[in-house]
Amino acid sequence: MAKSRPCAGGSLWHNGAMAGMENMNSFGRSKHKREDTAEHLHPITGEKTGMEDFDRVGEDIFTDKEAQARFFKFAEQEDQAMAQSIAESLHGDIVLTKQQNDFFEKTREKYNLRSMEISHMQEHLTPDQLELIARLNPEIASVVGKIGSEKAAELFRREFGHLALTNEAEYKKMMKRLQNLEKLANDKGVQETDRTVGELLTKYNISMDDYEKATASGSATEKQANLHKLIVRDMGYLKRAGFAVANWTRQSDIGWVLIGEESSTKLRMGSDVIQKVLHARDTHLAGIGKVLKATLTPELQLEVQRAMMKGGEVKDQRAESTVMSIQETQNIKSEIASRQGRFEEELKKRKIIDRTRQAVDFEKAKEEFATQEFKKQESYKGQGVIAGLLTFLFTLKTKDDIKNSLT
Amino acid sequence: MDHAALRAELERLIDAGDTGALKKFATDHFTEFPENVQGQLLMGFLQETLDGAELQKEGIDAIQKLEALNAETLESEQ
Repeated sequence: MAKSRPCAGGSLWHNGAMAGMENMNSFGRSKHKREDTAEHLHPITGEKTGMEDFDRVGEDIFTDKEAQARFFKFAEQEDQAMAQSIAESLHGDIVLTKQQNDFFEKTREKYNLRSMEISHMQEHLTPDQLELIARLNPEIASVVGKIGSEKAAELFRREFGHLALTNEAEYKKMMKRLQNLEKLANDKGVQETDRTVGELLTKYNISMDDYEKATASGSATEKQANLHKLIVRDMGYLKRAGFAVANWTRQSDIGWVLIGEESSTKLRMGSDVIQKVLHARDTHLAGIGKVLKATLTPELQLEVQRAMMKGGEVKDQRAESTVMSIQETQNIKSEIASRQGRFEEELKKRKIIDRTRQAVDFEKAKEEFATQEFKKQESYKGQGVIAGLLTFLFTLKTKDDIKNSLT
Repeated sequence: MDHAALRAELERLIDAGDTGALKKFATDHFTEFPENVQGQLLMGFLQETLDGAELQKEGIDAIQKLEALNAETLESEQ
C-alpha cells in the first residue's frame, strides 16, 4: 500500500535543503501510484502479493541505520560509484544532483520490491522447509541434528537475505530452484537417480566403479567435471554410432556395386537414416554439454562440447580466481605461503637491496604489493562449501595485516 | 577447538586433498565456526545438492536420448 510522505526525493529526507519540495512530492506520489498497480509475486511460490509495508520512501530508509546499510549494500550492486557518491553526499549534508536523485528513486523502487521478496522468502524458510532440505543432503541433515531446524532456518534466512541484496543473478537462480525443492525431496524417482544414472552410464561403457569414484566425494562441481571427463573419454555409444554409420555406408556401397538396383534402394534408405543419426548425434552432444550448464562457465561448456566432437583433452578456461575444488584451494594456500618470497622477488625487480637506506622505496613497494595481494584475496570466489571455508581460512586478513607481515 | 586450531586442521585437510574429509570436518565442528561461516557452509551444502540434482536430471535426459538413438540405429541396421 502506498504511503503518503512529505518528502520522497533523495535530497529531502534528512535535515538538508528543502528546495524543490513540491516537485519531489509530486514525483514521489506518481511513483507510488505505479507501484500500487504493478503485480508483485512471491519469489518462491509465485503467488500474487502486495507491497504491504515495503513501499518505503527515502525518509524510512535513511532514518533507520540498519535499513540504510541494507539499501547501500543493494545500491552498490546496481552502481557502486553512484551509490558511494550518494552516501558521501548524505554524510556531508549535500543536496543530491538530479542524476543522483534519479538513481536513488530507481534503486529505491527496486530495493523496496526486493525487500518485500526477502521478507516473503524468509517467512517461507520455516523449520518444515529445513526438514525437506535436510532430506536431500546428509551434511545438512547432520547440521540440523546438531543445531536444530529453527537455528538452521535462521542461518539460511540470513544467507538468502544477504544473497538477495548482493548477487541478483545467484539469488534469482536459487529462488527458482527453491520452487522445486518440495518436488525434489518427495520425488521417489529423483531419490533413485544415482542408481539410474550409474546403470545407464555402465550401459554406455562407463563402469559403475568409475562413476562411483567420480561422484563419491567432492563438490557438485568436481563431480560434474569428473563425470564429464568420463563421458568425454568413454563416449561409448557415440563412438559405436560413428563406427556403425561408417560400416554401414561401406557395406551398402559394396552392396550397391555388386548387386545393383536392390542395394541402390537400400543405400538411399540408408542415407536418410545416416542423416538422421548424424543430426540426432549432434543434438545429443549439445544435450550432454547442457549437463554442465548449472555451474560451469560458458567457456568450459564450449570447450567440453568441442572436445566431445573432435576428441582431445578438456581445458578449463575459467578465471583463475574462481575456486571450485580442493586442488584450487591448495593453490591459493601455496600462493599465500609464498607471499614473502614473491615480495622479495618484487624488491629485486625494483633494485631495493638495503631496506634501511632505501626506506622510502621499500615502504612504497610494501604498500603496493600489499594492495595487490589484498585485491587478489578479495577476488577469490568460492563455490559450494568451499566458499564458506575460504572465508574462514583466507579472507580474514586486512590490507594492513598483509603489509605488516612483509619484512 | 578454537579458531586457530580449526584453521590449522582445515589447512592440514586441504593439503591432504580429501574433499570428503573436509566436509566431514566442517559438519563435525560446525558449531565451532563463526556464525557467518556457518551460514555460508549451509548455503554451500544446499547449492551443491541442487547443482547435483540438476546435473543428474539433465544427464539422464541426455543419456535417455542416446538410448533412443541407439534403438533407432539398431532397428535400421536390421
